[in-house]
Amino acid sequence: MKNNKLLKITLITIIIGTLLFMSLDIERPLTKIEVVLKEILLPINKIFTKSSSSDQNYSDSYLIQKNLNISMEQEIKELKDLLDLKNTHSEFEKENAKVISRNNQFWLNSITIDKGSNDGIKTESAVITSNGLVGKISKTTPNFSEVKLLTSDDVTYKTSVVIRINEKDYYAILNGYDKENNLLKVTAIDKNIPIHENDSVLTSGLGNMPRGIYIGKVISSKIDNYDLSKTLYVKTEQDFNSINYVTILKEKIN
Amino acid sequence: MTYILIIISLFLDGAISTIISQNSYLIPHLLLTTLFIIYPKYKKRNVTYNMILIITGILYDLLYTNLLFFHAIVFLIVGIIIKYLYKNYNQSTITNVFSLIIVIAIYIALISISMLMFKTTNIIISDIINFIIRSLFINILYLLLLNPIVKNKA
Repeated sequence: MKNNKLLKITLITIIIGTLLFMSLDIERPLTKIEVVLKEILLPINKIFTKSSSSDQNYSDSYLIQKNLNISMEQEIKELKDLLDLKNTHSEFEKENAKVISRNNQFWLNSITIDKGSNDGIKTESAVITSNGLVGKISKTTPNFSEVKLLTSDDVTYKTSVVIRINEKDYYAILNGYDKENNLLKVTAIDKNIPIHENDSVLTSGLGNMPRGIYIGKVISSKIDNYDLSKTLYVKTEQDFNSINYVTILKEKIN
Repeated sequence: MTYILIIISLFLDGAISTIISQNSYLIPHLLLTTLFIIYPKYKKRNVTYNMILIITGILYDLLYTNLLFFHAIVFLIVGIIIKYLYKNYNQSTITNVFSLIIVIAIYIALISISMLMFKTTNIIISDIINFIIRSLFINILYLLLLNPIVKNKA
């Protein structure tokens, strides 16, 4: 009797453990059923987001003009900045998108946007705002995409970057985020490379991302425990906690 | 009525997270709060309540996390805690608030431990505590708002 109970508990623990292990595979592509269900659910989510934010014709609304608040001004500024971005990175086409939801799980920082594979968006494409790179596309469905932000704590999430010093580029890897100080972590840099405060960190151009997108400036550095390489702490101008509009850089189809 | 509440809370979770900064003290777990407050209605219908937990967990993952079945399992485990709390404590506004705090803390701790166990993310304890504290205010407020609605319909 006691053995039966123990066997039951062990079996349940193994099943739960296996299911958790399978479900926490972040790199897993979406199944067809998931894509279909997401396409049904996300438009409803979009309606809720629309009614809670200000995505309407401002000039038509007397009430909004009268009560124009700070968040709306910020959104308008963000949209204007995005239009400015149309003039840069000419080798890539730009697609503007609105954020419709955000992953509430603090550690897997991602957002869902209202553009998908039907708009030519592919995984690994760079996602930017006027302040520089914010993340890359991790999953797509026909009309929606998930953007994994640079602040995600996912251990497999890495972006190839360069640190520009006197017109010379040094390659490194951006992976990790220091939540306490709001700084991005850049690793794998030779400790002998003379990196100074305020040196710029840009995308390297490796992967499905254009070269030279601004990420941030070096604030400080720390040599690792083995005295071999440095970790840099990078300050970005982007407020990752309130992103309403983004631009996706997609490869031009010739 | 409870189904409508669940659906509204599910979508409100996403809508609120886009308008409120993640650094604020207003991190929503409105669906979890709803699942907590509706339990007395399903006290004698355990299977139905468990089905609600599984289905809402799957929908939550589809909408916000892309982690297939993860929230279905987490909600089921949290459901056991909810049942235990309702069984052992008298229902009043104060005990409900304290029970909700316990439920939110266990929910966040469960997610953090799972992610840490399977090496999905690097998590430190201060982050977990910080996240729990920042999740309390808006959800307690939502509980107080839902309390009379759910009770009136009982």
